[in-house]
Amino acid sequence: MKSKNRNRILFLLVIVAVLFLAVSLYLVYFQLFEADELAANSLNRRNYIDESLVDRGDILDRTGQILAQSQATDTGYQRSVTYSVSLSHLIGYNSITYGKSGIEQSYNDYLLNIQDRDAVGKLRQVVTDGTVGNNLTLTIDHRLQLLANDLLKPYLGSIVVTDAKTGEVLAMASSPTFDSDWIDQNWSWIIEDQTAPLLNRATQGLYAPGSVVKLISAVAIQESGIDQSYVDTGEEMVTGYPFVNYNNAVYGEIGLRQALIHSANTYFANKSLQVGADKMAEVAGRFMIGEIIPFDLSTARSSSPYQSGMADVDLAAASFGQGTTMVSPLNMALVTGTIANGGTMMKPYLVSEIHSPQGSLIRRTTPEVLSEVTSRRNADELRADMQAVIEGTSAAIWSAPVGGKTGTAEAQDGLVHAWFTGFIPLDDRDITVTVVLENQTMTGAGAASPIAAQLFQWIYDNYHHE
Amino acid sequence: MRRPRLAEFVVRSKRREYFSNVKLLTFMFQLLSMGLVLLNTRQALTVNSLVFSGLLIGLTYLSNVLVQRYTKGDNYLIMIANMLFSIGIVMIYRINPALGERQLLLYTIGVGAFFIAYYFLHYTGHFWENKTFFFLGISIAMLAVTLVFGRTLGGATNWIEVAGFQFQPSEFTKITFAFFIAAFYANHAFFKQKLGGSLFLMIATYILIGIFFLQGELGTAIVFFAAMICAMIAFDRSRLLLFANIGLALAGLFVAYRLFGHIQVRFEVWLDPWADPDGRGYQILQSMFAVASGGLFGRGIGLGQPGTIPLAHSDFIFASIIEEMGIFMGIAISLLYLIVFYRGLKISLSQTNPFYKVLALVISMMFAAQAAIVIGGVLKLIPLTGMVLPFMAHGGSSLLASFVMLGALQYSSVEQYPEVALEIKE
Repeated sequence: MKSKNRNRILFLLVIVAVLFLAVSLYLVYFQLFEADELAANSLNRRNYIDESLVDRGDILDRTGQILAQSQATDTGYQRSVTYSVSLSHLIGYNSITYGKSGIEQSYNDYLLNIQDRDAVGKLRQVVTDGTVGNNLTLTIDHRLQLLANDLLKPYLGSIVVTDAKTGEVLAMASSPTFDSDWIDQNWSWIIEDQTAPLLNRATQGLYAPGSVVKLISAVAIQESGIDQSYVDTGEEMVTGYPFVNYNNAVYGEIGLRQALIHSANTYFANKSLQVGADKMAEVAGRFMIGEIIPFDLSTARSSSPYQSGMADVDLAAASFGQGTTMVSPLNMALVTGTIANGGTMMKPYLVSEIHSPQGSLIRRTTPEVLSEVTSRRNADELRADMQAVIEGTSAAIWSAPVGGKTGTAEAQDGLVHAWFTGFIPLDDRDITVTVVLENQTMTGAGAASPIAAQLFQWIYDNYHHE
Repeated sequence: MRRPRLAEFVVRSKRREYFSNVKLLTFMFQLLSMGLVLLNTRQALTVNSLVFSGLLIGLTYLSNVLVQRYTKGDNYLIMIANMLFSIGIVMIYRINPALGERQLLLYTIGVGAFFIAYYFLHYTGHFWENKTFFFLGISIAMLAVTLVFGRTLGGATNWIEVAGFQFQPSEFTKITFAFFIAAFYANHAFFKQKLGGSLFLMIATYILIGIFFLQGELGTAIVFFAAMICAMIAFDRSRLLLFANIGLALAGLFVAYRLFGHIQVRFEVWLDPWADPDGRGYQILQSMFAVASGGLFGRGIGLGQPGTIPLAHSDFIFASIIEEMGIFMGIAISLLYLIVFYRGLKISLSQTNPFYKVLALVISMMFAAQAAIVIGGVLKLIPLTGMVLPFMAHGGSSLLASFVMLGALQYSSVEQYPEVALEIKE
């Protein structure tokens, strides 16, 4: 009896010991497999209580203008953006409820000064009172950004201004826009808006390019070494399908330059068949069509229409911009920049410098080659062609020999997307300007070129002899 | 006086060494954790906070020494309790210094109650060993008073106010209930002959559990049931009754689920807290977030956000502690409760007096069950029950009752010579 009694008590001990050990094991399991997801849940108020204790770093533009800063309040720090409408797609919003976007998202670790830490270190650092974030300097010029926004305001579309030599993005506008400082209050109507104000069209909008794509085809023609002369009869038959020029024009005997000046569809339809789909695809790939463009903001992948063995009709149509090609304004700006920059595509960037709160330099972005696209000779020739294209058009300005190409791509309901992409030579560098306007009644030359001209003029006035 | 033999001396000095090691560990924890609290919470080093730290270290040390010197039996119990208490009070003070100071005062009273309980049992001898009906009556009376005069706090009608002080009688009912079971088994032969044996125990326990359900105290009901079942497993022969009880409990739980809205709500929230994350699911989700944010080593004392957890200093103190001290501290706490249970069973095994043999088992089972239920609830392994961790959570009734039970357990560990027969008679 006594030993039985003893065994039963020991049995109880085993049961309870197993119980507590199970709880301990569960704790470890929970930590390893469930904790991360739970801790990151937006309902976990730690995620923003922590951050609101950090003096999030300032964001400045290239002129030293403060674009975003944090102000101390009773409950923590409050974020405010200086030009919160014009810069909403670049700086992004920083909301407790809806998360982050733009630079606020992609450079969050630097802005919180937790860039070098592992997960545990981050948590610990974030909550330590008195943390001050790093300051970012952007390549943006707020004056140019405001101008681009004003010019774009009546339209849906995008403007991208870059430095072809370095890859710096000087302005990047997207319309419609929203006010990042009022994201919480306006969220419901912003996301219901059919025009998608949250979409950064410059990097994530994909448009049929129309004739601007002829710049890429031109490089393919140059590189393939085929005869560049052509006699235009106003029609080019490809396997029974007739391709014609805009307004059914007939240009007679033309070379590549005239073909670009007149934007002759027939020329490119004819030549692309000689170049072949493989070569076209290869050149488009070097121009980052169909590739992911690394950038400080998330980018959409442009889509290339070229594949080996494709039908001649499709190949011909794609060569002058009527195929399934879809490009982002940023991608097109890089294409133009490549031609202006002697055939070398520079990697685009927005953040030029990161400084610690004490002012010491943490990171400086050095210009990087993204893609060696074509030879300097080809590029320079095409560059001169582009200048010839613009001469005497509505994109031209008196002060400098700007070059460019317009495009008009069919959209819905008989409307078009109006494109302009071009560059202005300054003392030792070229600045590219790319404009795309959605759902226009006028062509690229009619709608987009005048906007580009105003930007060129401003750039010349402010950057010449800089 | 007989001089101690060498072997005896070695054993003694070794034990003394253990004791001082445990005391040193407690002291180290208190020093480091209070240091971090003072550094990290912007409390600043006020005279108050330094005096508080000094008192905490001094009082726990004093209780360790006093218990060692003035009581016989198991000296580890108070040390484990002091460690648990220290972990708890550091967290409470870090969340709210005023509550921390109050907790220290309650602790002092609690240690006083420990000695009172110990010496009360010591001097009243074996008087209580056959007062089964007395303990049952007191238990029912306390709960009945609560049911009539009780106030509702946090979903349970389990508070009464006497002369400006708020009490939670269910906490003290645990003491009388433990004595009741002990007295019942000490007089098992009598009950077997006259009153249906274990059936009597079952009916009495179910009456109490029924009252707890009426009050909305699911947790205490489970603790009572666990205590009864364990006593039956250890001291009752009948397997049939045991399984009948488990069946009855499940059926009872089902009936209660259908009958009482508050129990349904607890189950629903447990199954899907995300259905109402800002309302009914709020408490448990905040608790889960805290545990999830802690990591293995915690975010550091004073560096977490236990302020986001409701009742971070009482019902959810386990979650607050894990957030700032980590999963490993959570495991350590679980193991500390397991050691309490182990010591309790060891006492029960070596005790020759049936009354104290049963009492030790029931009390240690109550501690263990309560800890397991609270920890399981906070981790969402089981529904929340509205109980608090013994010795750790803020709350006068719980702390006081826990120390009284610990005092009784301490007295149970004192070797006694049985006046009643050694074995429990059938």
